[in-house]
Amino acid sequence: MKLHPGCRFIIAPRFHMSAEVPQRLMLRSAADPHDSRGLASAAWRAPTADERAWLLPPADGPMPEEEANAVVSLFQLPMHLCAAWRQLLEQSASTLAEGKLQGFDLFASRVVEFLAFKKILVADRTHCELIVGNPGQPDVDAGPTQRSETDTPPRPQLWGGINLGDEDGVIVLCSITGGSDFPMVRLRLGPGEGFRLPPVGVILGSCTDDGHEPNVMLIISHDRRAPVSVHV
Amino acid sequence: MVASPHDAPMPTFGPLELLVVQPTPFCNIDCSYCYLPDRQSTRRMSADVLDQTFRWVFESGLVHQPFTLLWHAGEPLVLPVAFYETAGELLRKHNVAGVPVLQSFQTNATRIDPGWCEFLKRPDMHLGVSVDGPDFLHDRHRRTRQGRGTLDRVLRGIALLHEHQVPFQVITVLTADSLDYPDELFDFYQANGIRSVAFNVEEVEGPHTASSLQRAGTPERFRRFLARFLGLARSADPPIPVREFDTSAAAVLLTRPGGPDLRAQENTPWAIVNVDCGGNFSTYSPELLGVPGPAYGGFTLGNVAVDSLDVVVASARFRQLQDEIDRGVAMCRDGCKYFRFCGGGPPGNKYFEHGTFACTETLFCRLHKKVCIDVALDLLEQDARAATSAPSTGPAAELERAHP
Repeated sequence: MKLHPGCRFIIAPRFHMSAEVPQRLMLRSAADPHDSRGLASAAWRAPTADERAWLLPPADGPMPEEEANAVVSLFQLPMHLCAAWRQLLEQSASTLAEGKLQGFDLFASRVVEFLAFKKILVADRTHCELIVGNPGQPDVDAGPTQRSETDTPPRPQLWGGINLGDEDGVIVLCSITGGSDFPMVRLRLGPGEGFRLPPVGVILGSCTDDGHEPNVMLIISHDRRAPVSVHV
Repeated sequence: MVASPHDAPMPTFGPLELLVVQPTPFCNIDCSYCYLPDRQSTRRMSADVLDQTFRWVFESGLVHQPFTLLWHAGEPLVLPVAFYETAGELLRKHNVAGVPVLQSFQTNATRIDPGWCEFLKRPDMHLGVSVDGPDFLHDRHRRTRQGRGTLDRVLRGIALLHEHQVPFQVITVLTADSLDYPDELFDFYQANGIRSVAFNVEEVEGPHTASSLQRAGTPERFRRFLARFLGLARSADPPIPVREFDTSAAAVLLTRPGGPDLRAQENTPWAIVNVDCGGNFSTYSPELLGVPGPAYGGFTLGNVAVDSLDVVVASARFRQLQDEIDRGVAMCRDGCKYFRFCGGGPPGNKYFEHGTFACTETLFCRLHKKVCIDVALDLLEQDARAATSAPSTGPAAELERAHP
């Protein structure tokens, strides 16, 4: 099995994360990349040395900025924003069941502001959506990150997401440019950790990691008129 | 104002604001950006030299007001508490007029123990802790001589200070790496109960002949860093005071067009007196103490055991030094739009970067003065607009920005 080159995983420039990338990645074969059942199951295996060489950047120094835009970049939300999120949830406990999360717009704009400071996200034309799923159930199938000409209205271009849950979450990525034997890649994200996708070439699913807590994912996209929106 | 106990007023010098005393040049760690040339030396100041130092200070005629006694230029806590108990007794012996003296310690906190905590919590003590943030920033530069990071030990010291309720301020040295991490620094301070912060920039000083902040684009990066950090610090509950904002805002608010210029402590002769562990003394920037400076015959101007201030200020060497520093200040006044808020660049930075005092802008000026003042102006204007909802007419309009 060979991985298609070009979809590497890095820690985004100007971020520091406690766990390195290799410890976060698992692989499995994918006959149907849209079949996201069992994303958290035991069918996953660690990548081989050859596969790791495809998945990770060359070890000789930092990746140039333009190349860093073509890979999956991982990042960490600061603790103060994670604390603000928890506070927001506590304050909204009574209205959450109705799908209302008062203060989400402000929180999302603070997240976008932070990512813009880190030069990983251009702040304008950003759309934030909150996806909440049952423990262990796949709940995001964001589809291709590349927009199709036939999309009516055009789908927002998926930028990335952030695990806002209380426990580890996973996302599953599959290259739409790879062949049928191209494996799916399972990326583990701790609470407050996020990912940015390359502009083209992957589809995505997510769930909690064998979880007991709801899967909470902030999905960030480009190209919507509304600056932020809530989907609970 | 407190009257001098002696009848030798020297109105043109001082008054003393800061007495920097080096109890030992030794430091138990070996930071990559340190400016101390002699930090491996374990020499220490004797009780005799301490006695002579305080006698010299109070006989100099420079003491007209409360001042700060800063134990620095080496790690002060490598000497035992008993050394500072003795120092306190000698200080009181010579301070016959009872001038208030605030004792300040700048420490790396690796040697804090309960005994130090009890000593440092006294009301006339001030403590500064040097810590550069989370491990990936701090341990990159602040290491032992064996190359190991020191953050774990620093945090143990900070935990003890909290346990014993010893107030302290933190000084963080910013390198090029730090400027991408204002949020992470803010998180670090919050997580460790740090309630007051000062930022030093990595300077070109002494044996540290190059700074990561000399790279192109640094002023803009520093401006973004500071604006973001201040946004977080000011909105924290409770807000975290940041020295760079407080001093810059004060400079902006306290100076008026046509009014007297702000006077900079470091280029005012004898506002600072620096004494090394052998009793050798200098004035102006503390970093100049012990630096050879061959063109000036060295920056050590005398020894507290034998040289009175009268004799030193009459010497050709001091006059040459003073003349050149004054020329540098005049150049700042004539050529820099920020002079009104600054009072002239520190002589130490000028010398280490340009080899002369008769010059103007330094890296320190670009970052620690100009950027800080710009950011403070922006925030003051934001505050004013928020308070009045009025269009911008604040002090920023007076100052045509001059980002390098």
